[in-house]
Amino acid sequence: MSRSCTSPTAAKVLSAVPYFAELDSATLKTIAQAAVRRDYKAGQVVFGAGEPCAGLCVVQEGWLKVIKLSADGREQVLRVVGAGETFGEMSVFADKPNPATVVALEPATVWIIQRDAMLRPLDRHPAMARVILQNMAERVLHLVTLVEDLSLRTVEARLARLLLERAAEGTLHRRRWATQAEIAARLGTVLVVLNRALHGLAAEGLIEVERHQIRIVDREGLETRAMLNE
Amino acid sequence: METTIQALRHIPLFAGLSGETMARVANAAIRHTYALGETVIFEGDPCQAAYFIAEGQVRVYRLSPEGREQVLVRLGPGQAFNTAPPFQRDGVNHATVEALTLVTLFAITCDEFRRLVGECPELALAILYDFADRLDHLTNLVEDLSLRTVRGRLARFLLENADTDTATSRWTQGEIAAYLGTVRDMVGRTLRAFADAGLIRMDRQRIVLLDREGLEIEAQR
Repeated sequence: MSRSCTSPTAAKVLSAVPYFAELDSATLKTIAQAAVRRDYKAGQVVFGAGEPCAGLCVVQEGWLKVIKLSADGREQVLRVVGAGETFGEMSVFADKPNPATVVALEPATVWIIQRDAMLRPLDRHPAMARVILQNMAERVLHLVTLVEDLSLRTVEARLARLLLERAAEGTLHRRRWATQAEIAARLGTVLVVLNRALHGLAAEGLIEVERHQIRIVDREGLETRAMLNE
Repeated sequence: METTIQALRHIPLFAGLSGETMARVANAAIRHTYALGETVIFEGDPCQAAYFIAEGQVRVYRLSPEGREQVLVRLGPGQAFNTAPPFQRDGVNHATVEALTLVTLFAITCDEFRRLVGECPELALAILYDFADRLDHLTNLVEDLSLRTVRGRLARFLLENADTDTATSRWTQGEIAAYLGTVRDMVGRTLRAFADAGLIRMDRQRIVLLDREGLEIEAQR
């Protein structure tokens, strides 16, 4: 465990996480004491699907992806987590191995809180339980939507929706790791099909694809595309 | 007739509750009955309540704009649905739920449900466990849809849904298709291929698993 005076302490990092926002400082401190800091390099696996995980993981910095891998190595991104977000809830709240693999997309710092330290305060702090439930409910909805997307929507419609959801003021700024292959894995497709969809939407004048960003030109047109299934 | 408390005791989410908490849950729960084919809730409607099944079976599905179905799960006695939207701001029903048999269930309104969970840590923890299960199930479904062939999905479906060695006959081929994210023809064709390979036998009303190991190999594809 390495702590230098320039890096924030566990308590500081945890206080920014919604789960712990309602806790008094004494309880937060107890939880922070049970947290261990880990640093990961880009591409490093935090844990594999089916492996137990040491506890609740809180991201201090860096982006990580939560994925499923097929037998032949194709990947489906379930979600991407960044600073202030958490993963590993499955092993904490259900005492089950994590269903998915977590990989760092860039250098990342993560605090791992042991299971017991997470469970203990729940009895006395119903507000904490409620925030966790809210978060898990969002996660359930996200997966339901992903199932619907994969099963019932075309890749073009999925892409249109991703762009609409992610673009700030009409422009999706691509992070360094957000390669087309990563976007394809997120949409449950392969590079060739994603490229075709991007070109298709661009050719119709709905979006403009540049190196580091994708700009929405015709929001309404894109919304129509996101709703329709051809 | 069973009292509400007795019926609620059979629901695992409530099984471990203290007598006091149980009495409050029973107080908040309203019993409803639905006929076969009746829709309990519609996807996209404002969430009114969380539901707990006492008797019968339901199916939970999403509909595409052109009317194609994706079944998310089938639920039976003791299981719950619509427990996530009450925790979301302006929560709406995530899916449509339809009775597959005569169904008896208990509804607890969103406000009541949130209040109970806020005041009873034991219930909050039970609901958290349930969400974790749900996440697990949905993650596997995503994996199936995205990364497995229909052949692989069907093999896994048969392995998971077979009681002893007989796959449950309550699923029609159309319903299996809606769960596996494919069409009925494809299910029929794949079932015949499995039968030809000696992995299963199709009787009139049921599917008999002949070679579990063979199916497990197929399920990896």
